Amino acid sequence: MDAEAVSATASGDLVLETRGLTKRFGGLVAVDGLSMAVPRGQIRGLIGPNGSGKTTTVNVLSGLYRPDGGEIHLCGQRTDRLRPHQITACGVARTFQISKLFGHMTVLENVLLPALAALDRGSRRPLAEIRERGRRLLDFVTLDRMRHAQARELSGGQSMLVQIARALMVQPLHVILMDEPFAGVHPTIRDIIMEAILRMNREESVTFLIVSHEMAELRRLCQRVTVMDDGRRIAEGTLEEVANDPVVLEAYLGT
Amino acid sequence: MAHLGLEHVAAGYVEGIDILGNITLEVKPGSITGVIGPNGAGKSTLLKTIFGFLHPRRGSISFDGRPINALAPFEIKRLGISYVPQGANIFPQLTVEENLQLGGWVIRRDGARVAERLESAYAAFPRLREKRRRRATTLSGGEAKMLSLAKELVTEPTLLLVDEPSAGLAPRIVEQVYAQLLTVRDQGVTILLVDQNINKAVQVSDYLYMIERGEVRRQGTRHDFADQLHAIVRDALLGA
Repeated sequence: MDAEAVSATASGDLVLETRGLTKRFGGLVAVDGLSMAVPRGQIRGLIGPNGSGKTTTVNVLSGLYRPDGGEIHLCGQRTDRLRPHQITACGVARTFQISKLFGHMTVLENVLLPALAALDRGSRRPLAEIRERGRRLLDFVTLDRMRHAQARELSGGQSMLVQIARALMVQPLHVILMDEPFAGVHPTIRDIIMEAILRMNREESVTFLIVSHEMAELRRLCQRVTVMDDGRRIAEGTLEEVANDPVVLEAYLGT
Repeated sequence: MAHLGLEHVAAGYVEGIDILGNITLEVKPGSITGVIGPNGAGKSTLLKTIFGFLHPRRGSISFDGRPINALAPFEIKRLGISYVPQGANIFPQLTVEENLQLGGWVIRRDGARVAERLESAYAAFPRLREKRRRRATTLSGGEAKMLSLAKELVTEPTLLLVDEPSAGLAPRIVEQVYAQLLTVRDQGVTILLVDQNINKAVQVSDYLYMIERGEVRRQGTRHDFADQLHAIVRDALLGA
């Protein structure tokens, strides 16, 4: 952790903040006036019943969708009018529930992509350093031996690991948004994913926002969770706190 | 009336990963049996396995006393089981009536029976009669859901498998769909319902199972469940 990050933690600054965030699809309000704040260095869970707006929130935060209202502040910048690559350049990476790797490129090429794209936009990051970091990240997610395989040959769980390595390639890196990183993933790979999240949080003070239905995993990872229902934030706290909140229980029971 | 039994069923899509680990359950004749559980618990996989899209890796499935593990979906359909998947399982470019006719594909050689079954579908769903010459793509979400249900009833199934009937529908329509399921049950059709909407599932089911990670965690009557709803959700949230 560098000196700046340490002082940021001490002052409790917010690395991710939304105010009144709203996203509509026709008559459907998928995200409805959402306000949330995540301090630097936190691992935050984002939970809620099916259709509550969690994935849409991640898609708006990462710039895939333009919000219809409200503000987003990421790493101290207003980002709600920025395009996805501009948001990435602010230090915000993400993973997708359904693998978005380039199937005909190799595993290593997929991982190097964010750094190569940044080079193309004028970054001065040395190529040797990029390659070194890519190999180290692949090793970190236990896939170095697969580096020359085509990405389409990977299992769902392995693809998730590559997506994580690719997210970690982004530099500077402050926040990783993850959409269902454990869904349909083999238990062994779940453990690798959890280890990667905890280590990157500890060693590089990366902040995480994790959408998941896997409560056992969230319980080990997250200091706090935010609960959404019908596009709104209905609760926030430790998993124990929200699991005892009648409003949350009713939301999960349906109407 | 139809009776379905599963004994220690394991099933999955990818080698080495069981989505259903060990499911033993029973669907009593003339009842609605509800299966609830969190995302990824294996609810939809359970229905796909019963209907023959997947075959059990271990365990057995029996219907009216005969094993159906190894049968293909069309054979299972002929035995009197119909499957209503999530969303609207219809042919959008065909008319409402053509959709119903296709629902009766396995009885197509018996024209009189098909006509009689269509008439009874229209009696049960008057909106579908009004729109029978329209393309299914013009239907509202609720009407499309009714059509996918009516289409499966054309063959007069004795067991209906229903996956998440309320997903994506407006609250008023949701009420109609569940009311329709109760009517179908009262006509003697046995129903196995899987649902995320726990409140609704508990309201309409006679007996319930809660599954989690491919295993049965709780089972009991509607009354057993009604008293414990908050505890069930709390346990699920705490990963307990």
